[in-house]
Amino acid sequence: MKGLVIIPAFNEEGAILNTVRAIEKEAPSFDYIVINDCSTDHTRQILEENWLNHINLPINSGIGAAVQTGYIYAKNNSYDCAVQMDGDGQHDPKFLEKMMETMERDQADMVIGSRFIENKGFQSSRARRMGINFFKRWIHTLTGQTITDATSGMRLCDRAVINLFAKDYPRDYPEPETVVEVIKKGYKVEEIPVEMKARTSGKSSININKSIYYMIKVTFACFIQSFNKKEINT
Amino acid sequence: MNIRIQIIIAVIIILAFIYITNLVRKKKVELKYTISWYVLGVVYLLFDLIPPFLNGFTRLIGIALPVNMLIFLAIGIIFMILFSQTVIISRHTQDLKKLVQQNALLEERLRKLEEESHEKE
Repeated sequence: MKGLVIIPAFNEEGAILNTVRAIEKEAPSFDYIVINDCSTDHTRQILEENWLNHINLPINSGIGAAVQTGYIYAKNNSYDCAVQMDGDGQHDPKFLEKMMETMERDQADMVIGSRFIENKGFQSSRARRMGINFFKRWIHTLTGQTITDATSGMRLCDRAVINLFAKDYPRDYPEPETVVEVIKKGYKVEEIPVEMKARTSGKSSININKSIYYMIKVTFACFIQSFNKKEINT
Repeated sequence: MNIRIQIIIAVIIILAFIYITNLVRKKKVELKYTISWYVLGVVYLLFDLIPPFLNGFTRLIGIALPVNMLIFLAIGIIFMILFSQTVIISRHTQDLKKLVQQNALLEERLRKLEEESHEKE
């Protein structure tokens, strides 16, 4: 299987090089592409000086648009699967090979790396865990399937889901609602345990002021995605 | 306030909710930009369906009729939504200009590259 790691990066000058080097070392069967979302720091210079494979977006377009650019790239270059990994070093590339094995073994369309199956590694703050727990129950209500870590950005998608995301992907806070969409359309979604780290540099894109908007938007978006009908026969 | 106007307002708001939700589902509008309209609807429904709430606010602000209070409220919220749209349009204008310029610069670079490769042949 030909795999691609999509790394969205906005102002990640401190972590981006280590992130890419770790992928090259620990997940050698994957290619990678950094999507620089119009960073205002030295991210671009670092990408150019080190000859890292990257795409520069001309306008800051948000995480969703950056990741979608990666899915379009994956589609155009006919990758078999693509996984998103944050550029801030929170995700550990040593789990990528295992995610790919799981996908092949179980014929899954999407494999999510979850922090909350074995509860190892960085567990995020209390408030965030409460939010994630709420989405776990909400998504269970809407789809009947339990996703322990719907906000996880570390998700491996096969060709069918890459095509789906290349066509349409939310601009902000895309993870939970696209999980609902994918399940409702009849694709097979699985989770495997992973460990994440606390971010080493940079700032989280979600601050306290935005959390209320986040909760309302994502709750509502999940609800609307749950109207999707089954598209494939399994 | 008359029960008839209360029912009419509630029905209109609920129909509008269904219409907007359907557009979001079909991806004709961005969910992000509909949230302010939902908030308008919910606030309006609260004032419409809980008369003591509406009457209290009406007296507090110093308006004679509760219906006028509803109109005052609507205009206030509409101004807010309208201004936020001015902000959004301004951002889109800037983005579009930047995109056009980037595209033109890219075209120029590509044209030069093609000319150079022609000269070599």
